[in-house]
Amino acid sequence: MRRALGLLVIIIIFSPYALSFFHGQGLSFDISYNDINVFAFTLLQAFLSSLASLVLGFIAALGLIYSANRYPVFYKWILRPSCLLPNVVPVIMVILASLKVIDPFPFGFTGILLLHTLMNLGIVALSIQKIVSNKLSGLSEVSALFGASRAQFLFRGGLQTIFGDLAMVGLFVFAICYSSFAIPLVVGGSQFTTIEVLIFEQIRLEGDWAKASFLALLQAISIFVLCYFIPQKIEATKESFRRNQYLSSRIGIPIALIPALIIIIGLFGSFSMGMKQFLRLDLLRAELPGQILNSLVVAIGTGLFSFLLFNLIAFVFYRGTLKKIILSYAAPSTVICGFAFLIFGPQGEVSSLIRMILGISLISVPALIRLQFANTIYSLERQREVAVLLGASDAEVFKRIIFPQSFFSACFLSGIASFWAWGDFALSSIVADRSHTVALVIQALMTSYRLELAVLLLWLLLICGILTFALFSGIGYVYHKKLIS
Amino acid sequence: MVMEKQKTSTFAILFALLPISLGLLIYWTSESGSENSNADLTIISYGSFVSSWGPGPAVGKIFEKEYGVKLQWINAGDAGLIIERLRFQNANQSVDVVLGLDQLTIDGAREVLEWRNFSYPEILWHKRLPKDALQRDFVPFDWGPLAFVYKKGQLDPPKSLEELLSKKYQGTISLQDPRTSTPGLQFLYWILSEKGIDAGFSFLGNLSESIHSISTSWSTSYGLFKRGQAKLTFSYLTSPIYHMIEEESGDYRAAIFEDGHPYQVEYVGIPEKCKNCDLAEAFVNFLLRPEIQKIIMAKNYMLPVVDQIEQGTEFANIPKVRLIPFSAQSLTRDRRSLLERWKKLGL
Amino acid sequence: MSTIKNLFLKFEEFSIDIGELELLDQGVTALWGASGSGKTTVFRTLCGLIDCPSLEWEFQGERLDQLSPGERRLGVVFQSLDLFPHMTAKDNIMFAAKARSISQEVANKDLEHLSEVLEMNRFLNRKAHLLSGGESQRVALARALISQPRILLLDEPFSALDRDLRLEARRLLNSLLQEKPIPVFMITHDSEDIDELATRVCRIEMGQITSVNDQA
Repeated sequence: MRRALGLLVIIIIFSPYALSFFHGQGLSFDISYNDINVFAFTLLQAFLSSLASLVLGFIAALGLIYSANRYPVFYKWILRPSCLLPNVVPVIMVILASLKVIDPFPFGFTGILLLHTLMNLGIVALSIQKIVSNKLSGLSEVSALFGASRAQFLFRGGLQTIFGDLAMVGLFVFAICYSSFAIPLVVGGSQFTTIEVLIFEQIRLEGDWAKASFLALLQAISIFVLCYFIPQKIEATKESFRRNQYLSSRIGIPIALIPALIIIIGLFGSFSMGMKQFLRLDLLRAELPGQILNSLVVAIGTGLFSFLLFNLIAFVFYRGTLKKIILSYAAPSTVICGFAFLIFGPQGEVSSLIRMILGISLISVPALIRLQFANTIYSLERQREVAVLLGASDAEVFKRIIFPQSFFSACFLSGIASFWAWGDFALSSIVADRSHTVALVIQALMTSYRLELAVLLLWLLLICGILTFALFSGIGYVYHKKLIS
Repeated sequence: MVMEKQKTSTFAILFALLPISLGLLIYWTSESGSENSNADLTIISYGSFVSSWGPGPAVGKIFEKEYGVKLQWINAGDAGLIIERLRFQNANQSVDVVLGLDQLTIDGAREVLEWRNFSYPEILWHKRLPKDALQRDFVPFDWGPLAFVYKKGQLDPPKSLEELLSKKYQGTISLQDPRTSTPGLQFLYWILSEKGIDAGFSFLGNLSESIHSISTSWSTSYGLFKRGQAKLTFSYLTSPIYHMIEEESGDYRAAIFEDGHPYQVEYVGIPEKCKNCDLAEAFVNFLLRPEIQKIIMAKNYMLPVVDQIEQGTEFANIPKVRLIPFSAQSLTRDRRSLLERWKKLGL
Repeated sequence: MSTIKNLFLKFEEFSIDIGELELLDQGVTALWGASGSGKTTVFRTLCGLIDCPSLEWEFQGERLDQLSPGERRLGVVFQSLDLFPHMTAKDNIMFAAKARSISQEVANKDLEHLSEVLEMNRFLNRKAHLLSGGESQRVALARALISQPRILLLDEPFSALDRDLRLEARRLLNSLLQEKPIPVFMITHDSEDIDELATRVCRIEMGQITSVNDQA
């Protein structure tokens, strides 16, 4: 059964490629010198962006630890959600807000790095906080007792200890920046093209689906190869944090807060105009509840489907090759994924919503696996071994060992996927038939001068996103509490 | 024991989810035809046209009432993606009417699909609509000159392309990338047809000092302008009317260029493979009726293609500008190399 | 008699080279060696957790190496004990019984007996993550034994305990083995384990068996 489910996982995660090749009647291997340059640039910007995110994220993580120790309420309700905010707001909003707050904005290469870092710093900080708390707390206290300074500890062994974990987080950011689309185009200027832009160009301007498919495959393979050969350290992580006085820093708090502040300040201040526009649009007012409901369906659906995928993956994860494949696989190109699903199934509202659910889940899950889920299921490896030695079947091992203990993590991450689903319009706008969801309405409002109303609805979207996230992680939390008590 | 039961039931739910979702998927993919297959006419267009505040629903409602039929609107999202949507539209779903292509994209549409020729009824076309806007297989339904838009008091409006190179416009212009945006492509073609290819590119190179940013879409570049980051943006001559009507603000103005303006014509077409072709043709004719043209004008903020429609409205006050006709065909043929050169400019 | 043959493994930094090793049918066969001598690798290989194509392990006429880890029917206690933290002590033990399809009736009886011998009644219904080191150790032992294993494999079973608890644990294991005379294969670096439990001592150094001594 595990073999069959393993195959199912492979089929599901590679379905966008399979569908697009099937439709594109093959691949075009026509690669120019320029395309190679684009690849090189994409790699470079992704590498530097992830490096910058790691460095600043590390300092921010020390801030998170500091505030978790000193101001737990502020940490739980303000700082932690703030860290997640830049990753869930539609990219275009991050761009508009940043250009408003950071004035003059350093366009070009620096601009790309700056925005990628702003977007990913928070989520990186949260991950590093966990790693540092789990792995460096004891070591750092010991070296403090020996009289080593914080810098001495970090540079003479501390960082080395968690190098593998940092590489995993770095790869998560790398994969996001590698397939970045809007940021390089808006703030980079025309010479800074990424592969994702190149794919989009092939489809939109040339209608050359065969080449677009090939570029998407190359994009996927290149990151796959990279991940495959970089030793990825996944290890057991404990959920509980030790209070660590030594590895914490006040300076990290503002750094962790800056990205969210930029977005909030940048998007603030057009409420009255937005309300005015809202009151003028009777039909929108009538439609909006339905669109909120559709968005809710997509968000919950994405959460559930992601949850299913996480569990399927947890079931098959322990096969050597499959584990490597899952860990090396990055989310498919949004454009390719969108068009691949467009040709799949009938048209209509329900179908559009199903496509969104499938597409957003397939894009979100690989990133979230790398971010956390791989660690969670890897931490159960020893227990799985013991259970197998005791004679338990695969199904039994999953049902009684893996599933209950990965439930919280799967719920939490499905909650993030559902949050992303509220804000998605990159994929939705390709697969949707109409403005079914709030995000698509926001996009249509932006293309018809009504930016302020779009921003107003974005706030609505954020609140709804937080609620569904809370629902998923709440279920996980309650179950987890019951499980361990 | 209770805990055990709870675990088992959660587990059961999970594994019930798997066959249920697979079953749904299989049912869904095997389902032939559209969920709205009871619609008499399927129309595909771009997002803001079919949104509730756009012209689509308003116009469609009247048509449905008058003809006693049901319309199905498909939102292709971005106007530039309509052709790709057509290419990818499920084989078992035929589209009867395609609405929203422009003079730069109809050639591409002709490569993807065959289109029905159209016999124009007796129409008094808008006097200023250039004659070359009429095609045998695509019917214009609205149009508008393109122009740089600015906010009164923020800068002296430029009066020509050359003036944009001036120091006083340094870092002020928000443009769109021609690779991802139709107005962006219009801008590039405008410069190249006005100045010639080589001189055009060298002009663009010189323009880099004046450029604030180049966005992926019109909405982003207009957003940057509206939020005050850029002082000038490439948009439509009709853009200020939106602000006047919807925001009661007379601050937004279009800069009038003495040497003329490019223009965009939006078309409606009927694919040869249409399902209900007569009704599709009736719909296209319907779009050209004066009262319908008025709705499209008012909701899309574009000029009507039929004469006299804008009389008595804000649209009548639009400055009369010289229009620059350009042959999109010759440029679209070389599009790939032109965009390569654009990229190399590194703006 | 149980015979292990051709346990050859090569790694980057060291190799295991065991031509033949005989395990006793009764009593404790100990694999004794310092850290890094290859004990744990041998242990994991016998469990089936490391692939070793050359291995032949014959146990009372049956080739265990040809069976999957689960089918080998081994009772295993790792150094880290590896209890399932989300289950109670009792659930941990019964998990093994259920995995081996031992009838509820027999399992309940065995559990009762084991909990008496190992003095587990106090904490049987406590979640495993709340158990002390000594308690966890007893649960791990009971879990390994309830599955009616062919052979009990112990990997440094007492190293996590303090001295008093170690003495106590050895006493409990001894009394259990007197009641249930199944073969035990234990790896350890602790000479006290050898003195008090081992019937046969196989010394391992740098992946090779350097001596085999039977003790009275």
